[in-house]
Amino acid sequence: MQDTAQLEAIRTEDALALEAQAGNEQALRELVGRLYPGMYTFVLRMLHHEEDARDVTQDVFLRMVAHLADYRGEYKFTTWLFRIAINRARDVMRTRGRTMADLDALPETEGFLEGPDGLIRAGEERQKLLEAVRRLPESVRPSLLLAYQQGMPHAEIAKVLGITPNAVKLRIHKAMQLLRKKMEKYR
Amino acid sequence: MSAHVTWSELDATRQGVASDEESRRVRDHLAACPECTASMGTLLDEERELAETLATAGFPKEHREETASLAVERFRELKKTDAKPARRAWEAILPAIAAAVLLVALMAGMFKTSAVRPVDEDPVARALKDLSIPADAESARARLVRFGHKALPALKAAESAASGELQESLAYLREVILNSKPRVLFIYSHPSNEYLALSRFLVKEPSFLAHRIQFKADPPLMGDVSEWAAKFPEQAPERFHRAITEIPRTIEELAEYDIIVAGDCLASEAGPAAALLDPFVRKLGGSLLFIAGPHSAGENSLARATPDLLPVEFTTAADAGPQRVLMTEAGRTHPALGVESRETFFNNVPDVRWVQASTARPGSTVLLAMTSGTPLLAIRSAGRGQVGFVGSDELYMWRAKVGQEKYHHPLYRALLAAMANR
Repeated sequence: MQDTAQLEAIRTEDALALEAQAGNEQALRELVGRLYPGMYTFVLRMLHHEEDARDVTQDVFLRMVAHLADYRGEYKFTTWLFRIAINRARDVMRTRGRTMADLDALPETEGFLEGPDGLIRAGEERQKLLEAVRRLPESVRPSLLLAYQQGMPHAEIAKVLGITPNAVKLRIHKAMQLLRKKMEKYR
Repeated sequence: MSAHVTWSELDATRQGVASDEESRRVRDHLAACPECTASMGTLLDEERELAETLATAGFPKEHREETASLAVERFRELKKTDAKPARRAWEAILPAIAAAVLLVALMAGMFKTSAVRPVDEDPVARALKDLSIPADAESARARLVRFGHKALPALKAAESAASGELQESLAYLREVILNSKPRVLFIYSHPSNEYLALSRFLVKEPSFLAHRIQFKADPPLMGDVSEWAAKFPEQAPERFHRAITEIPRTIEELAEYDIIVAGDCLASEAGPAAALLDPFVRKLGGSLLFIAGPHSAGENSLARATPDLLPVEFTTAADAGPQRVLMTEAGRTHPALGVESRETFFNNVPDVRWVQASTARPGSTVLLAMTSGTPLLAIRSAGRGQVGFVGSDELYMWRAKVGQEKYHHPLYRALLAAMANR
């Protein structure tokens, strides 16, 4: 039997955000609970550092609360939220000096971090793939992550990144080319 | 045959950054070169593996709880310190205003078509009348969204004509309706390629919220999103696209969906829901889409259990083998085929290898047919809802030859959107 929880789950994040905006604390709690895993994973793949990923993810949600009243529902709530996340992740990278040059200087597997629940299910190939993603330039990585990790359509990624959908396609194409090259290098 | 295409060219075509000329060359080459078609398949597999790999990080569950609690705490603080949160307070009472408008309207009988109010003189009343929401066994939200889409133009006109709180309430209602996504219940019996193709489409497609159930799930064959999503419910990007284990058993549960997509199923597998499909469509205004398969014409099939709803009648004509697809006159303008450049699109779709032998029933509209005249896609109204019939479960082949989203996904996107009145 389809239970109430399942029916509840199909309420959209946009609807939950509007309910939270209207003062519903339960909706806010549910919204954070639902969006946390995807957001954390995204930030982790951006920063490659577990502690930073936790801090930034939490900060994103606290900023979300502070600016919840500004959300007007003209576009998807997650578009708005990922925009905050990318800006915060970039701030952290800037302030901590974690650039691509630094990453390239690291040994191949150092700093490779997965979640704390022992969910390292990826085989060797997957680890190599993650390593290759990790070494993608910052200019193309967000587009790739939003497309393939978050399943966002190009138009929505364009809104998150403030670029045109065509630029998104080009960046993803570039990222895929680089990934293929890096994977060949590992083989 | 021209020289083989490179990975870069394949990917550029796939990502939509190749020039028209280059895309055409790649497509033409793929149509004739099994080797490069296989490479395209590998590329799509790599993409899927990338998506799965990227999504499968763990997350700190305690930190999630801590973050949620902190967010609520911050939320309370902000509410206290916000001296005059004019807009938020205004928005906070919107649901109440909207509910009040609906309640008043219901009490005044404005939702009934027999309302005696001179609605032509009052645009607001006319909009509310056009909503014409019947009081059946479903939630107010489901009713509002399902029937509200048909009344959006009237609602917008009423909003312009109104003022003050009523205008705000109407704007809120319109926003709720516009932001709603069609809810799809996708049921299938046996593991099949079409099930996998449609599942993947529904999981990736952001325009729909879908629940999927396969009665005879076979884990090895199901190596798709269902199994993956079940394993990693938190990480799966389709947080609201779920595989469920039991079909809804009551009309109230079915009413939460806008569309039921019924693949090749037996009536017995659908249980009590089989008998509820008729009221779901006729009374609640839901949509039902049948997809034919090897068992559809069998005596015990779900399609056979609802002959009055079905847009076609099954026949025993011999299988005519692969055939071209033809768009009918009705198909040229029908929203269910609202894909980009539809003439070119349907001129170019690959032949279909198998189609269920059938003829259209009187009152049905055939949108796509095979060269033999057998309907491939037919649609009909039934009560407040509508029923569609796709005569083949081999349309998944449309994604194998020229790229995953070339023909299969756009057709189903347009078809499901039209069936949800979007």
